Amino acid sequence: MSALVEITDLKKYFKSPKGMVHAVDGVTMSIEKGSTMGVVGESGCGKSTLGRVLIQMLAPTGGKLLFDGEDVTNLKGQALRDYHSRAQFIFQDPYSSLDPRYTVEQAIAEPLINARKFSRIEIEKKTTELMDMVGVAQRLRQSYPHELDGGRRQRVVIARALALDPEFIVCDEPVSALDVSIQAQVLNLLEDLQKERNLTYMFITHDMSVVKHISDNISVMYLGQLVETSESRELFVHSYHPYTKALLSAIPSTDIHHRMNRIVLKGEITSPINPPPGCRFAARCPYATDKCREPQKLEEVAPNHFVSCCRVREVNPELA
Amino acid sequence: MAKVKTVTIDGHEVIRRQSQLVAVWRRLLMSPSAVIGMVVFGLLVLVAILAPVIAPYEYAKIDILNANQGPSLQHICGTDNVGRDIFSRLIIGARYSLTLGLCSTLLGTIIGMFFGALAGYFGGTVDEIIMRATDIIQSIPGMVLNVAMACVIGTGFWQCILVLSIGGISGAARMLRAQILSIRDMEYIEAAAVTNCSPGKTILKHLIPNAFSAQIVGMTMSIGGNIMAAASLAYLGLGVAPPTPEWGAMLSEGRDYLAKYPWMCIFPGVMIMITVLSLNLFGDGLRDALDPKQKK
Amino acid sequence: MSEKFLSVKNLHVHYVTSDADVSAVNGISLDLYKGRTLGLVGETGAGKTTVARTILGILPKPAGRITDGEVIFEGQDIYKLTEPQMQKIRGSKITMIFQDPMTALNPVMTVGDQIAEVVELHNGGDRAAAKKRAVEMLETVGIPAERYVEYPHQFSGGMKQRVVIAIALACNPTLLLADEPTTALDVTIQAQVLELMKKLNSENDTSMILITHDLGVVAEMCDDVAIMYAGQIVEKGSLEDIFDHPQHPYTEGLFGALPSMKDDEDDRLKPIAGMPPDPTDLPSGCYFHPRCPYATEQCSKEAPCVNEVAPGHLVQCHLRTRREA
Repeated sequence: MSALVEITDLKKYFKSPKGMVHAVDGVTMSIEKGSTMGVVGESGCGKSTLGRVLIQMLAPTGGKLLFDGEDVTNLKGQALRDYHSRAQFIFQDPYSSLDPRYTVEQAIAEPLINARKFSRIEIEKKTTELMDMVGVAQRLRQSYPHELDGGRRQRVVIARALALDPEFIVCDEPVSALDVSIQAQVLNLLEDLQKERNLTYMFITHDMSVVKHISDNISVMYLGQLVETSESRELFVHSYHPYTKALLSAIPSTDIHHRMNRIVLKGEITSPINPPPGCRFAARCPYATDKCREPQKLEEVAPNHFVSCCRVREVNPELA
Repeated sequence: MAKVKTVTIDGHEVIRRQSQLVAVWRRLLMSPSAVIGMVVFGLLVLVAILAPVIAPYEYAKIDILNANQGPSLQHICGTDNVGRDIFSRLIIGARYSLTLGLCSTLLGTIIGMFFGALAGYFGGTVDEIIMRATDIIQSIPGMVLNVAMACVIGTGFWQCILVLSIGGISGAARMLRAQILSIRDMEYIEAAAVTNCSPGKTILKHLIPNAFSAQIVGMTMSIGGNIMAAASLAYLGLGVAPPTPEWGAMLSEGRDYLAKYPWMCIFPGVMIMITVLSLNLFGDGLRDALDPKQKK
Repeated sequence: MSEKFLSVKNLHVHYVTSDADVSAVNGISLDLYKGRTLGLVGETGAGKTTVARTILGILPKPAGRITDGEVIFEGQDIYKLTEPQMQKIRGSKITMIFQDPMTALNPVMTVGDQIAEVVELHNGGDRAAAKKRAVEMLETVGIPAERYVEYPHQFSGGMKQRVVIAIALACNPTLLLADEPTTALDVTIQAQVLELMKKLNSENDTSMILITHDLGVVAEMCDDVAIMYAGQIVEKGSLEDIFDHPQHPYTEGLFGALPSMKDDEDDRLKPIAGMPPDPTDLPSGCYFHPRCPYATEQCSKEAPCVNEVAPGHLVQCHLRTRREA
């Protein structure tokens, strides 16, 4: 297996009246071809920004982005258009990611038309195929988005993303606006498509059970930085970073007989504007000491399991 | 719900909608006020077209002996201070006033939308330059601007249209920019970028269609305003020159006789009011009809 | 079992507008006992919020209409009360927490005053006492008293929801209606807020109806659970009844569709086929039959009646009726 997407020390800062917002601050990860990288974190942790930088919807402030071995950090013009035929994006909110004045077939055909290399007949045919592929009935071709329910809309969004046959798709909370029963349909669809077309996903979500279900690897983000990354199942058995532990313990479980010991964090996420150099989580961490004020490094504590915490061995005696 | 017909394409049954235009038309007919507005405005246009046939008198014929007569069977709207038949003048005037109102508004809106779209879509420096320019234009009182422009461009019917359209540019630009700013952050605009939609296409196919509906109402409002502004220009001798029976010009001529012979003002005023009202009703209805979310 | 103080009987609510008649609630009966928490679970459009609004008497006017049924609160039918009488109950005895803390607070009023205002309304206009109570409530929900004079925009989402909770609990209500109180919050913040609500409810012996779509939250918070589908309660019972022995195919479907957190092999999710029905055009017979894997001809013709499969565990399904027989 080889890595399809490799990012090194990726940074994205935004200017704001109060100072620089460090939305993504030095993220390094690689995503293997055909696998799913889950990115979890709470609102404001920079996970959506990371996804948008990967698809070049936002230009990175620093760092390097390799796609299939090629440097795609700052693409423009035709090169960017070519990149968008290989890397696509699925939006969170199927209610706002479709133009209300475009019918289903117009929405799905748009990337094909913009590619300017297909004839009208080819576009018609491809649109039909795409609709079948994502399970939207052909009779809805000329329906408007507001006439469809959330699940169907999200299928249309998926079809549009698949139109140019991409290899890599960033899914930004694709099911969080959907009801549980519909959510399961869309998750199954995404999994089937991945198998059929050997797609690589970056799956951004705040829902731990969804990310566990769909991901091969998981990265946990906090205030623009990775705090822990590992193989999916491993993370849920052995989480080492204090934030990951708290996050996992906070999830309301449907298992009414075995209660997890809940770690209730104090306070709320701190400001991403000009953050201090140390561990971003230190302000809320129950284990924080002076040592945590220094910059942290991702460290491999177990095979393929990286944690960014200087006290990881003290907090987890089993690692020492 | 819209009438749903199914047709077969490639062996698939497809819910075939009427074309966009037909659908908009059907929705428009659902609203009584829009229909009234449309019918009244349609009649006005018809009157303008058939003016020479309908008008009972020569509009410019001076008849001092019958000056300042009140409404009567011979002159349903009375006569003016030189004895011209007001009714005939109103009918002929419809041609001038409607053309003037429509053309100047359309021209102003189109130019304004162009700048507004640029400012809203690109933001940053482009936005800054265009918006400051509109600030400057808007800070000049409308009348002063019109007078200044009229001095530069000259007087006459078509010049008047040009003058008035300039006043409408900044308003239209601002309105479209505000609409676009609220739409620009929608995810479907981001989606358009990821699907390789060029900026020009994004503006024309995604931003403007979704921002346009508010513009339409604004347009219908400014048609009336432009007819009024033309009147003021005429009063200063910078607009449509007499004896052209433009409604605004008639209104301003009548102002001097308002106390004694009110019909000289009332009838042109009523015509302007009917025009503006019918356009507003129609514009409101059209805005709703253009929204695909409307069910009927 | 403790005292039963809220009882909803055969409630039907419709939203009637010029172009549609939406059947939002179609015959709901439920009882709430003192000090207990009932979870009302269902997907978007199942009618959960409408039930809460009906109990609080704040159905949108003029569209919302109660076409049948009654709501008995502490022995009174609340729909026989006059508006002034209802106002006395609303806000002091029955209060509601809305889903979105961002819009539930007045942006131009300090948070302290917003709490004090509610108290003042119900304590006969004693300003000083109301202020004192507001400070007390802020500290109860974990906000330092000096933030009394701050405005909602100076608070984060989680803090705002704490303020909303403080307002809801300021008058010591006997019944708290919580409509998706943590849906807009992050998990770690949700954990804090749920913990707080649990603590306050048990301290004040407040009963709660918790409306949510999140079965995890239900498992944490509730004593009893009612599963709603298309404006009906399809299954109702204690937490154990529902989570250990779900009987209705829809309840089973909900659990099947949920990605598991347990460490077993990732098997495929089992979504419920199809879509929730259109409330302006509900299917015949059992409302769930078009999506039900066990549906028979009977299901599409007759509406199922309610069966008690175990003491207190009610299921509205033909399948269970047949199994009983």
